[in-house]
Amino acid sequence: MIILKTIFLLLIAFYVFELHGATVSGHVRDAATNEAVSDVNVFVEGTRLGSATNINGYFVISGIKAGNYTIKAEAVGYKQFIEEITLTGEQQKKMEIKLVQDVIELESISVSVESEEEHKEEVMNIRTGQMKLKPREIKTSATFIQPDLFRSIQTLPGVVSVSDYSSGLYVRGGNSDHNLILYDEIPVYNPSHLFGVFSTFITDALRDSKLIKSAYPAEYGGRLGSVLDIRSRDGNKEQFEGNISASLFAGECVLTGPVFDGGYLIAARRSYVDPILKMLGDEYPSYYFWDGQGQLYQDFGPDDRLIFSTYAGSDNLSFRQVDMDMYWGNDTYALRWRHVFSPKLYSNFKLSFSRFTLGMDAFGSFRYDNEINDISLKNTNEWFISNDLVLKTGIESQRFYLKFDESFGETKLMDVSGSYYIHSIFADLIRSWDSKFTLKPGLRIEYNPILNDTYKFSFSPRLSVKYMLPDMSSLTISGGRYYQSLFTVQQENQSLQIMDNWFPVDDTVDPGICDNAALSYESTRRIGGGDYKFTAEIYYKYMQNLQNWKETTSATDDVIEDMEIGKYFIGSHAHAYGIELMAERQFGRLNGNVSYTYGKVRKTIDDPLEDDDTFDAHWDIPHSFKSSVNFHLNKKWSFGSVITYSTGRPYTENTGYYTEIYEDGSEEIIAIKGKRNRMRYPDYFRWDISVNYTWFYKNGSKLLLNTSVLNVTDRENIQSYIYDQREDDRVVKDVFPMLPILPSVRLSYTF
Amino acid sequence: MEKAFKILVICAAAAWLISSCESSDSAGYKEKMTLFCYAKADSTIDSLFLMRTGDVNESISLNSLGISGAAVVLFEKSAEDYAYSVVDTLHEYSERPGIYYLAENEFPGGFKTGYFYKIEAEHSDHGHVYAETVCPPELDDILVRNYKTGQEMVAMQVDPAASDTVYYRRGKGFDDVKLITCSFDSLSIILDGRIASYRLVPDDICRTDTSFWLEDTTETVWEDYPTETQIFKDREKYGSDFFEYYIRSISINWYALYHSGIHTLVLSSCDKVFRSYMETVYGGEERYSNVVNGLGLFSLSNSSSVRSRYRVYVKSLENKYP
Repeated sequence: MIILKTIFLLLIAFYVFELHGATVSGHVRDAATNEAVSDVNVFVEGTRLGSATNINGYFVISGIKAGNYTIKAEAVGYKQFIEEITLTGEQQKKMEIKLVQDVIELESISVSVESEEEHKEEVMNIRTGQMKLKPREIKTSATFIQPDLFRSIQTLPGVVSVSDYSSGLYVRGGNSDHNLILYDEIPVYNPSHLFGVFSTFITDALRDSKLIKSAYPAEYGGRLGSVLDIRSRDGNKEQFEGNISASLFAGECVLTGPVFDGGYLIAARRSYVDPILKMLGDEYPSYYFWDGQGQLYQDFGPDDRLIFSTYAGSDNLSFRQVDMDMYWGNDTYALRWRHVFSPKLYSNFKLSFSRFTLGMDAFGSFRYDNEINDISLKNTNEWFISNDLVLKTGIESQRFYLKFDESFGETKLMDVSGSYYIHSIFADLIRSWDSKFTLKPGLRIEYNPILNDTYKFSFSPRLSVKYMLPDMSSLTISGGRYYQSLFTVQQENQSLQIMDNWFPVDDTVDPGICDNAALSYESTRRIGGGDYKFTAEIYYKYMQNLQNWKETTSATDDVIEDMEIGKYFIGSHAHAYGIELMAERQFGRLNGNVSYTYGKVRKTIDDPLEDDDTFDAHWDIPHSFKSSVNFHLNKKWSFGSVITYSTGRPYTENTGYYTEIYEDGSEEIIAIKGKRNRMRYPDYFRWDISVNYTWFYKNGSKLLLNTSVLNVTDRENIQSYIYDQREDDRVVKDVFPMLPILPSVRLSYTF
Repeated sequence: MEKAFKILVICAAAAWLISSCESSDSAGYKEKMTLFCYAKADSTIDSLFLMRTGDVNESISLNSLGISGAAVVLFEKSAEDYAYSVVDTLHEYSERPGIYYLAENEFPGGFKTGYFYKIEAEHSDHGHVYAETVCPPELDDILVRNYKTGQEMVAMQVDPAASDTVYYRRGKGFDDVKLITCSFDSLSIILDGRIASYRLVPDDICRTDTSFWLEDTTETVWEDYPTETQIFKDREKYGSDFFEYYIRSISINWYALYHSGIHTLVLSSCDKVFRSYMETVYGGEERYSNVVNGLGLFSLSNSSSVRSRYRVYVKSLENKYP
């Protein structure tokens, strides 16, 4: 009954806000590739009418009176699009806008707007804590051996990296499993290679990536912290093109082109250090990883597109000396159908499958298998009710299957498997008034039958309010409640998490809950002929029911056949708060950003037996200064610099040692621990530089030589202290360093 | 005015940044004495280990850290007594510095059930430590049964001739191949906060059959298999409340009984101190200690009256070893 009433009220609202007059709708695409361009301002010159394109490049402008108009479209990195049109009465005009790329933005381009309608994208897009990264920005910046999306994200304010060896993301005080990582709308689990050193995605095959650091909209769910929405390239519908790249570690290839009334994209990557390791002998492990990404789409008229996308990749490690073989990897498949039911109703249907598997054989008799897979069916509908009112609704059903199987010989140590379901409905409403004030309420309702009665139905309200100030400035406040019922094993004394095992919350514990709020000030100003964007954001998070592995769980327990979470995990809660300041210049010879972040995370184990129960989380890095700058000398030469200077991570020190005598007379050296996470490693500093040279050939192809030097000052940053017991019974404190100075070179040929 | 306001904001921000800088709060190394003493009811102290802690880069061993020449005194009192009385002063082994003992004639009858005991150790260079505990009572009403049939296997009072047979069959997991269940009255343990532990001691005639364990086990291994962990893991969280429960029986599986032959089962009743200590051994980051001003453990157990024998056969070898 409530649902019927809601639908009725919505219909009335649609009628009230329905505008009369002509409508212009369509897609904005890249002229060279025909791929969608999101966040484009499309507006009718001389009026207050305008729209911003969605993630698929779709826009609608309605309520236009009959007459002759000039339609303009503007986006970062593209030349302005202008077209004269004539509209009559209630005409519904469809447009395909093709934007031409500015090849290199050497000259300063102004994005300061002259009139209100030109900043529709600014008004309708509430971007608290949002950062976008383009693949081409990643390709020319200083890299660790090869361009990597996650490592580029680590350079953003509010994102913390705990190690040079890890591409794991800790966003605004959240743990690494609080991030929802979507690849073409498919959730991906553990997307990393070499125990987290590289992320799995091939940069050249990506179109867009958007990180929402907190207070994300109701469209997304299932994580406490952030959303990383990664989109692969659609495939070039205009012409065949390709890219071949080779770094010191891996080679990759991307091919894309038209097929029938659509396009395809195939990308592959493989590391090639294994032959070298093999030559070194059996005392060295053999290792390689590979990735494959593919996309195929077909247009069935201007209103229908069917897309199939897939990703597969795995790591393979073999160590003959200990008779160990290990593999882990992901494979994902998605079938999506986009349909424009009417100019004002844009729908997307998705059926996806995502799987992470890990297997290990060791010592001839030990076997470990872990699998998580996720089948998801989702529908989203965008209702462009008027130029100032957009409603996004959707429904999603997910089935998860998890398996843990551990055996030693014929003895099972762990044999747990099971599947469960989450069903969700959600709605986000965006309403703006006079291009000054925007309200975005949202609600996500989830039904998870495996949880206890209190949380079987969870209500996650979200709200964002944006107020446009004069001179292209805005003030936004956002917040919401978030739930998470899948989590990974976390151990506070383990600074480097090399592999995540996912577990479902069951009825023995409560799901993770996060209440968060963020206040953001954003301003774009013209200084010395260039446009600079200044952002200041304050955030606060209160996280509850974070599950930690109980260290009291003994290895001599009987076989684990029924995984009661409450039996093996203990809850904790945490407060996270901070401020992020960033200055950014997106155009010109010199572009990039400089940021400072102050962020704290205090965690408390929910155990009354704990004395020292509140402490800094191991990813608590309060002060962080980051700078990522690129300089284009001319069309051929460019230079990049990435600097990170931050507080050292916390750790628990060993203040001394003693010999423990057991009941049977045996001895063991025991460390005397200081207060948990009370000490900090020395400050972290790393400066990476890159030099890029591009050869342009007459046939339109080009060759990019990217030379990078990681940690150019060769500073010894500390990963951890190792207390090593020597043969003379001395315990010596050694340093396990992070990466030293590391030059690398990469060639990338685009044709 | 505007300029003054900006300066004020900048100053406030700078002050906040400086005040919020993180600082390491190192406790540094601070020397302490360590004392370890495990003793049984009706026995005296065979070995008390007195040492000091060591810093990083220092050799951490009994030889280098043992404290020689300390005054180590044992005190006792009954539940009715108000004050401790001196039992005697411990002696140091002449060639084993830092290890002290009490001769049987100096402590006739040994530790008594229900009595309170205190050990004090003092050294002019290393300070003064002491530890207290109570000698626990024996476990009551012990019954040993064949896990599969539920049949009582032996009379528990010492009877060297009593024995029973359990058969091993290879199963899928530990739970599939439980052989023996041993139950006892846990009520007194719950009330006292004590624990029970058991160990299996293979007799001399016990042999290892390679097919009994993993196929690739070729060495004959005699092992006194301590399985106290079976008892310490039972701390649970239900909702937001913790409560602890104690099992009333111990299941002994083939994992423990991997020697084919005759076994002796020894059950011990340990004091509250040992329970707290073992909880930290299997879980906590910092070891429990009842040594005041120092580290270590002074613990008493009571196990002398519990003893039984089993004969374990691999099913396939049944005919060979009837």
